[in-house]
Amino acid sequence: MTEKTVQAYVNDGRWLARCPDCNGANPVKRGELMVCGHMSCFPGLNAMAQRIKPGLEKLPPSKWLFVNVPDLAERELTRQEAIKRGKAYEVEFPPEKEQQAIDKALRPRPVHAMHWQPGQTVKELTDLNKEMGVS
Amino acid sequence: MATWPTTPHDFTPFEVVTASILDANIRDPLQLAPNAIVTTQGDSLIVLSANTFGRVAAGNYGDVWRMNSAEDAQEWAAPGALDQFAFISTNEATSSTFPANLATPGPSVTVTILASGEVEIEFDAEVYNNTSGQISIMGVDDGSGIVSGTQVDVGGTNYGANDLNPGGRTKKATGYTPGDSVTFTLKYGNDGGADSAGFRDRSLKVRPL
Repeated sequence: MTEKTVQAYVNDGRWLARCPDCNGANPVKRGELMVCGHMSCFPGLNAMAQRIKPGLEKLPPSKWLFVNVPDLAERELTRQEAIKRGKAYEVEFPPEKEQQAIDKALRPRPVHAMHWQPGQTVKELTDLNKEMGVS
Repeated sequence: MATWPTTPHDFTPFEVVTASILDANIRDPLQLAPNAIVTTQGDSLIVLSANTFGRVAAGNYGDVWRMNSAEDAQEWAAPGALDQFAFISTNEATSSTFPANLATPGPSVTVTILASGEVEIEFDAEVYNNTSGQISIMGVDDGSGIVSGTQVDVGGTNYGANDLNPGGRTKKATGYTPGDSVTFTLKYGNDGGADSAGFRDRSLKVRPL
């Protein structure tokens, strides 16, 4: 792991990684950089816009209603800004087959028990599953 | 017994927080928190198992804090609860040739056995025999017979008929099961059979070691 790398882990069934700056957790995907969307880092990653509710466009503006939609343009600008500032991090996952085995081992569990930390083996997960009577 | 890991939920930006997430991560832990467990002034908190607190209600004046007999939790108990003492002054006699109850049985005490499985037994009485030179007998019964080494001859050939003399002994008994509650009873006899041995001011003290 380098200074520009963060480690993936599983918490309540989600693959997450912690921001080295604010320690906040962020959802991560294999092959994608992690940019932190917490308020103290790059909240623009979650930018929303409003558009006229479909079907109301032909009504006079006073009759319009609006719906929230992701502001994809603002989000991309934020992402590029993070990369420019060196705040986009590589995410270190376990090898792909091991990641699949981890997902498979966690799947039978209740969501609140779907946890994996780097260093934990698939056998440890399946052993606990057996002890708890799930498989 | 195995349990699922109790890792807290990590919240992510713009996560949709549902009622079940809030229940699992705020409500449920608060119900298990120390301030939700204690209910009364004087309560004490103990650890029942990993990540689990328990409540011990206040004891009485002078109680001491100690481990329970199962050695898995603390409790308040009276400080004198370990040693037990009983006394009977009644003057009674027997012609039994082996240690047996008098008309007024006892004294008896019940103790909880500690980790060593051992107890110290101390017994005493004023003893006499209606026949000169005969010997009286005392022994301590633990519910499964006379405890080894506690059956003793008291009085003896140097004493005349009905001469009073003190008799008793202190012994260590071993091999009990820690945590068990055992009742000890002082019993009486005489070695002649035809004569009568009398006992008064009978006392028994048992101390778990």
